[in-house]
Amino acid sequence: MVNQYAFFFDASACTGCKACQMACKDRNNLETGLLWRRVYEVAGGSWEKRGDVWVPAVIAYNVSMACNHCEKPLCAMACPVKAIGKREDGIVLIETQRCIGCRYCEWACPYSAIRFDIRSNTVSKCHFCFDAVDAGEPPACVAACPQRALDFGDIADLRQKYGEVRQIHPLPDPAQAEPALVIKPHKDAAAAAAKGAEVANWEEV
Amino acid sequence: MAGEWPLVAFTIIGQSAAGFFLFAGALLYFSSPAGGAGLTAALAVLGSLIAAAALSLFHLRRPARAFRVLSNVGTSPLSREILFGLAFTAFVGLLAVCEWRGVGSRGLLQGLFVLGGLAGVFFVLSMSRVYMLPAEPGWDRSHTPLSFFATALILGASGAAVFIGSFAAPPDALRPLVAAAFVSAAGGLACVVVLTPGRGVLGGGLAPSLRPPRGVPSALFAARVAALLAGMALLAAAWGGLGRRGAPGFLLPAALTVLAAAETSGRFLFYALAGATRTKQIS
Repeated sequence: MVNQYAFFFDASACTGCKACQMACKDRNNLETGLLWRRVYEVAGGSWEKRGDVWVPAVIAYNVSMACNHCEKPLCAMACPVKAIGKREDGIVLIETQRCIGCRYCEWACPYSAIRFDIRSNTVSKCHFCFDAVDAGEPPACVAACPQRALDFGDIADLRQKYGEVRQIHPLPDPAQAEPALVIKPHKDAAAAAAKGAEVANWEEV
Repeated sequence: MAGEWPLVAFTIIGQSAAGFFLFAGALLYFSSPAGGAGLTAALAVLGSLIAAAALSLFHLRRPARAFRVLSNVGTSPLSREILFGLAFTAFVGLLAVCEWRGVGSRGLLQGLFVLGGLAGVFFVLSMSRVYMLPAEPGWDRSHTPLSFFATALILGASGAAVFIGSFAAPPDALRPLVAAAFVSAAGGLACVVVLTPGRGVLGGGLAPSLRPPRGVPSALFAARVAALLAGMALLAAAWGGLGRRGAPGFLLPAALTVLAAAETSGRFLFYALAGATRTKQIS
């Protein structure tokens, strides 16, 4: 019995190929420009002088991020019409037929996971490929990753397997929404904020 | 930013209506300087609230489903905002009916005014809570409720001064309103200069985020400061002209217009802060 489905993301393994992003778009037939999973390219750093030599001290890694099906879903709490709900297994779903398109959940979500769908004139987001998961299959993004940088399962199992980390730069404070997320950080992630690393591909995400 | 005009209209009109109700009602029901103005004032507030609600529907992509908007009062600040807005409208409506039919003692009218005033204050407060989201560092700060209440006080007091003045009220009745508008505008100006995220003296802040950093138009900030100063100058001139026939009649509506422009530019600036998480770096 799964209490809370969650994603695992291995930042040290992700190459930024965006196969997860494309698999999600393909499976869910998403409109051009609409992304439920996005790969953020985090880059920063500069040259550093070590002794008499200048060496590159750059930071570059990727963060693949979708809805984290938070344990405290701020989107659902904010929705004035209760169009967003949580299943018993923790998957957060949007009831499109109820959505009034106020887009308040977009503001409330710290992970920018809620996206407006111009086809339905309502908001939309990752639904964890719940139909596939119910049938015993993995979500499309997990299945598509050639690096096995994504995994899914019950949050307790993922934490036991991969650890407790759920925040790396530039993700927001996890205390806000208690994301169902486990991360293996990239080696550069710890110094990223201090070195002013920023998302380098805003136009893509 | 420009796409948020329905919310700019809803918040500015709603806050102004609450402020106007408080200032005009306090004079009409506890001082009575302008007999017969109670019904007109209540209808003006009622009309403003209905107009604000109608304009806010343009923000919704599926307005036909909006009847469910009170479904989540337990956790949604947006549902609570609408609830308090409806309560405020209901009390003002009751007051209007009493004034129109000439029923109810003065005590009843005063009671309805106090209840309506409280609902109005909670309406403005709930409006500010809508935007105080942890995911929006540009909004989740004291600047939001302070600027919303500043709008209510500035436009409410100056609007009430224009309204009461139009009923040939004596200068002594107008002076408190003009003074309140001036003090509110000065407080609003201080709030703008000190706390505006990304622009004010203490308006910095930095938070990791998955939202693209946005620039905040400097022209709107400058326009708001300039218009507030101009509005205060007009209010000061109106104060000096009180008692001299004609002067306040021209200056007070001019002050109201300029201050309304200030608050409108400030509100567009406010909505430009959505997603502006790196407020120290925006330009």
